[in-house]
Amino acid sequence: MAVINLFPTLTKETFKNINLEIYEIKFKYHYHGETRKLQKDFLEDNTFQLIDNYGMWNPSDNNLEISGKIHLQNINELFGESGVACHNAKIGIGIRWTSSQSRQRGIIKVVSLSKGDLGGDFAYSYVFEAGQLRGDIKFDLIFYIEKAGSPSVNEMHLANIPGTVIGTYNEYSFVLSLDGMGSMFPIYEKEMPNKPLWNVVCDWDNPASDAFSEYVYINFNTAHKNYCYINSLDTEHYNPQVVVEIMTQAIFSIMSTLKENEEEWNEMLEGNGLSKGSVSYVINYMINSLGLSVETSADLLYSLREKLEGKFLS
Amino acid sequence: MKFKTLDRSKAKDAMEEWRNLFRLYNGEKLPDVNEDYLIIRKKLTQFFNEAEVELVGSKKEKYNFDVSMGVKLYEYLNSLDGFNIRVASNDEFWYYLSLKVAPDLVTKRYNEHSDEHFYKKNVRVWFSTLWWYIHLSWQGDLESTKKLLLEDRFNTDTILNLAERPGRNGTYIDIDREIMKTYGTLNDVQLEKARSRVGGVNNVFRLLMHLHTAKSIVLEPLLYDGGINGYVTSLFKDAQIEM
Repeated sequence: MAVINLFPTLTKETFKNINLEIYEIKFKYHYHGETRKLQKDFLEDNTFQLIDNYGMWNPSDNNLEISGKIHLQNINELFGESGVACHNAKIGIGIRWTSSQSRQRGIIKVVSLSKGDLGGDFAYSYVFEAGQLRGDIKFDLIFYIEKAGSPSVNEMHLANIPGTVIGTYNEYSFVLSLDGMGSMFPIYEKEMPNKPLWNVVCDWDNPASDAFSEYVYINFNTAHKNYCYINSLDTEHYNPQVVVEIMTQAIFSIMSTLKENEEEWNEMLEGNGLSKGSVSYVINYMINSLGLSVETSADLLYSLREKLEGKFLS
Repeated sequence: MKFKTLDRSKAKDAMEEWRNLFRLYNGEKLPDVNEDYLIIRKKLTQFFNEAEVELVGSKKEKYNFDVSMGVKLYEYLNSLDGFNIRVASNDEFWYYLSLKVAPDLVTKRYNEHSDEHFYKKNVRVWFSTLWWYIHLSWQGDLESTKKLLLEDRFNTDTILNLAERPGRNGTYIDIDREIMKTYGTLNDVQLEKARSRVGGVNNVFRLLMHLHTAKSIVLEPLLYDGGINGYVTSLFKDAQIEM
């Protein structure tokens, strides 16, 4: 909804005057006491999903930390008659996150500013719990009135109610897509004595509509004698090449399962009418984004291994 | 456990299948589900029967029944391994529950033609509405939440205004809980005054929720001076409700 404000708000010019800069926004998760960085995979200009090089992270079972830093100077520009808040008010900066699909929204506070404060770097971080979020989450950097001031006669036109948003820095805004395409390939660790090291489960009925994240997953067998080679916490034995090999075989196996039904396979290749995030949609995305050759099984296996090694081991 | 889902196109087919099944067997035969869901079905049926018994002599039959059923459903689903707000915000999980697991219960509460309470309107799917109503009214524990919701001033219109109108950009969960608490603990004189001023039993709560929506367009409730409590107090003040 468009809002017409009767008070001055931050403009491109003001953002320039205060030298607002955004440092890299990082995403991490915590796994058995270890902090692991997630990579961004852009789907559109300001929309991305997250990729875990260990292949373990998924929003149902793992938490998610967002962190970053902003830089600003000339803080006094924000206060007084030609600014956006009266001389003795407090301005807050925060990250507003909203998600209709998660049915939640919230604020991450970054810093609170008063006239006379020095500029510098201001860091923020926030941890979302495992199983808290779904779908798309939009993040915006907002400036707001944190504490009302006592306006002098020439400051009566300024916003002065706490909580009032006096500016959004559009350059920051982005959408994190949790249930998009390739962001989720759930890997579960299970104790399965006398069973193979891993297996892949393809449980879909209708690949054009069943969600990839719900109906496809890999089990790692913690009871297997060679589990140490795929256990990323075992720094002595862990071998990412083995994990990439498993991922290659798993994706090959998923595609082969889909190919058993020629009609569904062709529908996937054409890519029309597939539900976003469905098994066929994700496979179609993988084929196109990774540039896989699907003519023969040997071609597919080779190109999968080549691309995944390039993506995760280089 | 892995929570099964049903997308809209499958839900539409499942709705027709259920209607046919209901026509032929009058609710005696239910769709096939796996063992995990047979347990869930049994539990939901038990809750439904218990809620019906608890209802005897109640003034607001349907509302009190919904609260009783909702509290049990909320407690039970939350106790299942892997159930969390991510699952609860997935419409397709509720479609599966409504159309495959316990369509007989939705039919008993409404009827077999109320598609919107099975799947057609995501915010009106009965089980989902019950879960979210309890979640958004949560007062720290089950007993306190139930006690609050069984206050006379709450009714099916409250459910509609709270749980069936999720914000376009997500819901301020803690603020909804504070509004419910503050509204629920107004004394009778304060409530009567507010009712006579806005005209009608349901209009006071509706007015508060409308004001909340309007106010949160220009300011961030979570950043209000005095925090959540301060914001909700200001909301009641704006609505000219004595506290």
